[in-house]
Amino acid sequence: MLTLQTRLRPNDGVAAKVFEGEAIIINLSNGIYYSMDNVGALIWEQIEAGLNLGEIVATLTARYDVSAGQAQADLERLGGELVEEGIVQPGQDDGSSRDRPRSVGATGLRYDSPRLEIYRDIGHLLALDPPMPGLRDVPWNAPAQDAPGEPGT
Amino acid sequence: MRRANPVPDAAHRSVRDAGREPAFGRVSAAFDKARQARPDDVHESRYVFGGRGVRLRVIGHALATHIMRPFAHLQDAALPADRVELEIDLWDERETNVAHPSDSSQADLRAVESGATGWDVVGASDGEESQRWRVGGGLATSFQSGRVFRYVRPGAITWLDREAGRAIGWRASGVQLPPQEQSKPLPLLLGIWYYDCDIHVVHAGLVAWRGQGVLVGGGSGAGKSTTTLACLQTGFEFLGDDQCGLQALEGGSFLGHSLYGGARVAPNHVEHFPQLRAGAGRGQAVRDDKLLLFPAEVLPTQLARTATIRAIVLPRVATAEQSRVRRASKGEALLRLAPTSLFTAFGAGARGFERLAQLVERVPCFWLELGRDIAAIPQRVEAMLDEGAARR
Repeated sequence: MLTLQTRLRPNDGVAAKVFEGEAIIINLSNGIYYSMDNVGALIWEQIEAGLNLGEIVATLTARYDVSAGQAQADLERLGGELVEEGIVQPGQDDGSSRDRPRSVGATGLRYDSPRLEIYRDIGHLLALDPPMPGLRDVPWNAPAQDAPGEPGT
Repeated sequence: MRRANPVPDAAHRSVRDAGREPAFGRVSAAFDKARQARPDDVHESRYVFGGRGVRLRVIGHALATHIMRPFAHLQDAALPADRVELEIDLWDERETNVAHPSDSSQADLRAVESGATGWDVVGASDGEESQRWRVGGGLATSFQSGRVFRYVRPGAITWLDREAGRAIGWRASGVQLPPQEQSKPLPLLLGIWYYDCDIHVVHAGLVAWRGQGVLVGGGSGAGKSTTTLACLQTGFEFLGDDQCGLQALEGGSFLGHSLYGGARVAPNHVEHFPQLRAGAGRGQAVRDDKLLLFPAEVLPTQLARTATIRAIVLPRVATAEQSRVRRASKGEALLRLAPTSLFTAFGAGARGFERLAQLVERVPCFWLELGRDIAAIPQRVEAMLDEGAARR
């Protein structure tokens, strides 16, 4: 069960990138990928930064025009989906120091409940012929290389 | 730069082979035997793959014709021997009467040819392999903690020694190669070698104008081949219709590498590309629905090996008359590029995702709604390139 003290941690094998207010998340172990925009992207950034759910609720209410109750309910629902999809795992806040972005920036922004878009097209294909190995499964240290420069520069 | 592996003489090779998986040495000896059996049927060329020298030797005319054709535009006859970093040696049993040596691969071969399931447990184990995977209708095995890699599929066994930079392969018959090997030979092993060279194989086409490239992304059926071939018709350089290599450069820019020279087009689509139509007769039907063309054979001056990537275009088929362009978000571009590039056998994983994300962040991204005016596509792509170049 998720509480305000829960801290969600991205699982190994999950890669993500946030740009232009959109989070793209890929579960490299099963081929399923996801996107979240606006509020969802901010939540993902806060999860990656190591904040617990209570701290994320505080960030949401500071930035958006939303009540703490609404933000908490949405966050618990979204967090549950992320756990169910195997993207994150819940842990209790141990109080350890971590990077906690406190800058809220703009305030009073319009709030839309966060939504996790799920893309299972490739995951379904992979499920027909598992397991799909990645190059990390055949690690081998090639001789050191120097990064080349751009031709003509 | 990775150390070049000069092509060794026999004495040097025996020393270098000593550290390999023992079966690799036996396969190497079998290749030498095949070469001696048909000295007049040895086909050898040198190439530049991803900026690195490669020597390809094939025993057997039919096998050589099929294997070398997709690499023809990467040929470099003047490449000196001491710049060869990867040697690829293949032989055709049908032409040479030299079989693959008897080792654990034979059990794997019987298993894949019988279509047995549970390949992760069948096949003889010589106790030396590290890991095994069922991949794309074949069976992959790594040895010596990943240094040596073997892929077995029906009628074919190929080995790669990543440290020595040498691949050796047996083919049952050069006249019965599957369509995939005629258009994109050795994809798994070359993908691993490119990765070791810090070049990631991505599922995207690539065209360029005077060395400035546009990456053409999207899933199957999105219109990558249509877009790249339409550009080729009007003077763009062609580097691939659905696969290319991606290399990060110092300073943050990205270089795209051509991997294969073929293009797959639906037969009823060839009429849109009159210049290529001349070469269509020399193409071969691959799979049920596509024709395999080699643009280098018709427009030899328009095949390029590398291009600096300045923009990303995401084509998609529309029903409108006119093709339209609009900006794509970074997220939309990453969603179209990353999944089909990463979720392949031996994909580049998190490192590949990060590299694609960096590329998407760096260059402008566009949707290209493909209308019926295919001839107008190059103009639209040129405009994207102008915008990408302006942002350098």
